Amino acid sequence: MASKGNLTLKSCNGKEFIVEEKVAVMSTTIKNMVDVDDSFAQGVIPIIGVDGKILAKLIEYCKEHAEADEDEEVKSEEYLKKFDEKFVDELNLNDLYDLLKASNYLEITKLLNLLCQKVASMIKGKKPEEIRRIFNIKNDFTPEEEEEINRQNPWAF
Amino acid sequence: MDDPVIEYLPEELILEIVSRLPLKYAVQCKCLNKNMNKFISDPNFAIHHTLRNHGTTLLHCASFRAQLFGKISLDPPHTVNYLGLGKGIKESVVSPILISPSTGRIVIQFLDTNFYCVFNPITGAYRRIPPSPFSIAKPLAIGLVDEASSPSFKLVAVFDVLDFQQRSRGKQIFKFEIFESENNSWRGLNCLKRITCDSSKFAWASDAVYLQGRLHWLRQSGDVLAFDVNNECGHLIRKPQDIIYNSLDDRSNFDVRESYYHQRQGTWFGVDTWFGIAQGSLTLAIAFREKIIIYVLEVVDGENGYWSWWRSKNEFGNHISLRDRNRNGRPVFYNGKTLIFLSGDRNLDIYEYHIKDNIWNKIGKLACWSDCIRSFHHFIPTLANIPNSKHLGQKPEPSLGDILPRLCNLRSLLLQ
Repeated sequence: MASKGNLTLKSCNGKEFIVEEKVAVMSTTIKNMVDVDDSFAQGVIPIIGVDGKILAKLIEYCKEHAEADEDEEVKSEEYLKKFDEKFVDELNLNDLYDLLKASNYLEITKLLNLLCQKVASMIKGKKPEEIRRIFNIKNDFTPEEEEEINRQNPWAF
Repeated sequence: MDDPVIEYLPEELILEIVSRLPLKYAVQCKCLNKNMNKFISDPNFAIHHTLRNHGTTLLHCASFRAQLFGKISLDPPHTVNYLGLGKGIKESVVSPILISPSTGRIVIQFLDTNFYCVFNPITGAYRRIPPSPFSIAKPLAIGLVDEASSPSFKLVAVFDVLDFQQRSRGKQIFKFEIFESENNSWRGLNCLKRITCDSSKFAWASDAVYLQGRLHWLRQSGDVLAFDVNNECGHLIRKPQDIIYNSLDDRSNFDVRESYYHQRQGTWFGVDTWFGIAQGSLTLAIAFREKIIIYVLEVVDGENGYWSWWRSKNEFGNHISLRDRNRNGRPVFYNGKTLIFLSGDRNLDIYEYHIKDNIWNKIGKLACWSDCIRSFHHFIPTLANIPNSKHLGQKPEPSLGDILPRLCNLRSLLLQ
């Protein structure tokens, strides 16, 4: 049981994390749950579809940012920027995707922005074949259709 | 990073990511697969994408000396940029343009060569449309029929039919001609489709508006000429009932609702009016001396055609002329939430009115250009294709040599 001001988050594989409320409510989804129903604030909040490893990462991120919001002197903008850079650089693609999905589901806007920006920079300027591999997308165009799209937007290709 | 087993990302997230790419790279993603192509071609994508970078833009066309275009950014920081269409270009060679509210395509008529150009300044694609072979005269008005869901488009041109008998009765006959992008040709409609109505010019500064299968042109008399694209017939929508039309000759029925311009200059409907689509409805925003009134067109489709009438939806005090009775102005943009209002004679102040909060903010100034009619168009950036188009980067046809630099300039202004 979490003490007052703390919340307990439970991952889909059963790991529990006790976090400060200000850290947890960086997630709009959790904030709404806590606001609507007091019992969540007392008990355990299940985080569906997010495993312990990813949840730990999410909490790491939210903790830094929540603290920075509270005290700008200790954690300056510059510090946060460096933290963000390091945070996304250390992720492999699978973790990146899991975090993306989790931050989308939990509505952690700042993190979602950061991660989208990261993937965008990964695919920027890559060949379509490479981007398809990164996104695991199947090409359903015939070669003629693909050629037609290139032809319509010659400035972009 | 090269992980062999990559999980699927939900499409909404891929789209979030792609919309963060610079436009050029985002467009490259069109060829990833059909779904991506469809999404990136959709105007919502460009709006989503552009809002991050550009914001809401009004394009000012100085139509008396047509070489000048202005770009007014309505989002903070508010900026106004002007660009000439190129040195040495004769005056009045570009007619007032019109911009499709659904696809952001721009139609420009080049008066010196007498053809039209359908142009997407974002992609740089353009298509030259020859003038109609059926009429020697220039059309009184044109309109663009297009929808975000389809790349094809139509141009509808309105012509005056010479009929002295009708003219002597103060009547006018219109006929229509249609250009279809798929057939690349004009089609004159048969005589039965002509429409006879009271004489009036078309309002100067208003675009033709296409909504739900019908094209609409505002006329100076206050009524709207509508053309049903499916049945290919025209009809007239009467002006809002409560507006009293006053010209200089007729001061007897002066009314607070009388439009300032009507009274002062003897000019007509449209000068102090914004006409367009707001919140999905055809809308008029008219500046009166004391009030600005928003009218919305109500439409009921029935078995024997359709009925439509203007309903006054909202009104608010005309802060500008209430404060200083010698000043008035005109609305140039309205979206249901904010109204952009220009005021002044020499230098124009740009005001933004937040309807919900009832706040007027002065957001900028326009220098006075020597144009007699100032037309303002809401520019919507999209990646909409233009079928069978050429691109500004390609080698032009010799006959287009004069035109292309103007398109390039317009493009660079809007992409700035």
